[in-house]
Amino acid sequence: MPAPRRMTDEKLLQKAGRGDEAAFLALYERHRDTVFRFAYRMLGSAALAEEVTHDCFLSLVRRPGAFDPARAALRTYLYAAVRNLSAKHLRRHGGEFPVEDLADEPETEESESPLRRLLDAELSEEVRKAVEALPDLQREVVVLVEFEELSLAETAAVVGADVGTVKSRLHRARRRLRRALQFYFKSECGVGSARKVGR
Amino acid sequence: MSDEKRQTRLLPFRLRRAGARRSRAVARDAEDFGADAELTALLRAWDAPPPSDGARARLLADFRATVRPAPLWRRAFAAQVRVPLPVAACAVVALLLSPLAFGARPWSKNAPSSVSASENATAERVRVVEVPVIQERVVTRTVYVEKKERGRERGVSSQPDASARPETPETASIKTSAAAKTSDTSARDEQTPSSADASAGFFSRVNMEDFQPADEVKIRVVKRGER
Repeated sequence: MPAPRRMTDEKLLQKAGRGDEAAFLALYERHRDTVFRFAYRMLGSAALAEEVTHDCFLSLVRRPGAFDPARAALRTYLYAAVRNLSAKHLRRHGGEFPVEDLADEPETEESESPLRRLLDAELSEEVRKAVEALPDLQREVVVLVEFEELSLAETAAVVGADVGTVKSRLHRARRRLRRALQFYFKSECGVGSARKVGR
Repeated sequence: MSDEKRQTRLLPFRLRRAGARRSRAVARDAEDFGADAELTALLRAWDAPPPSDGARARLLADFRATVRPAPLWRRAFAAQVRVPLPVAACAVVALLLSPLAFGARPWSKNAPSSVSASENATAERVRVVEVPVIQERVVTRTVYVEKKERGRERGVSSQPDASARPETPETASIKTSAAAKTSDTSARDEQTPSSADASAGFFSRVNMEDFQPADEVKIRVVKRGER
């Protein structure tokens, strides 16, 4: 019998549905970062992202019939599940997130200079604000294409729209982002970006 | 210059311009839908933190609870039932009104008692009439018949009376039992023989009602011609 790490997602899911803890953990380790990152960028909160990730993986066991391997890959299904759960959270909480999430912001390495760390943190915060300011439909497309590096077809499968719609949303989202972050682009700002200053 | 020559000369410029237009369109498409390297690099500045260490343990615990559900009694305590609001409102109203319904129950019990009272009232109105109960009693009638007369009668009558057949000359009495449904008067009528029998002299009309037998009997023999 092959080790859980070498099994396909479908096989692991079958075994997890029968109560195999090792298979479930293998599945979790394989997709945890992807699911968590997407949820974090959609919700802007690490605590909410953890909750959504938790519910997403448990739904695989609670409703095993919801995932059809013939229709999409497990990763696409998980993205779609996170998208739905995130939308539910945003509707319920209106985009609010707990204060303790401020401590969960990504930390830079200690070896970097204080100025660099400060500038990176500022840039990260600006990008976060710019992405969160996007409408939900544009934000999910940007996160999936720009951060998760999904193709347009995969993104269309996740959001449940055709490729043309995804292109249109992506185009509008990029325009907005460029406008919001115009001071950080080398080509559009003669003074130089924060990264340039930092380096 | 002919038009054909002019077009031929302009062809390289047109081709260059068309090529430039196409490359601009491709670049625009790439900018719109392809990899916008500058924007992507800028966006990557926003890193996501790793999930916390406790998330894995919490997920594993919930996985175990999902796969191996808790005992029935524990699930019964934690069970939740979703009820539509109108149904819940009706249930609450019914719950609030149930004490009133129980309180009104003695009043409803009085209803049949009032009915029975009215029945009693009608029962009191019924008049009780004492009716004499007819009791059966035995009347003994003694008929004294002369032997000779009786024997002559037998010889005369071709068909003897069925009631007189069991009468023997020795007993000389007939005991008759009759139902006392009739009154004393009717009983007396029964004792009265028919008028034909009385005229024939076979029966003596005796009323034994106040008959008292004598304490002493004096026998006196009267001989023929002595009177």
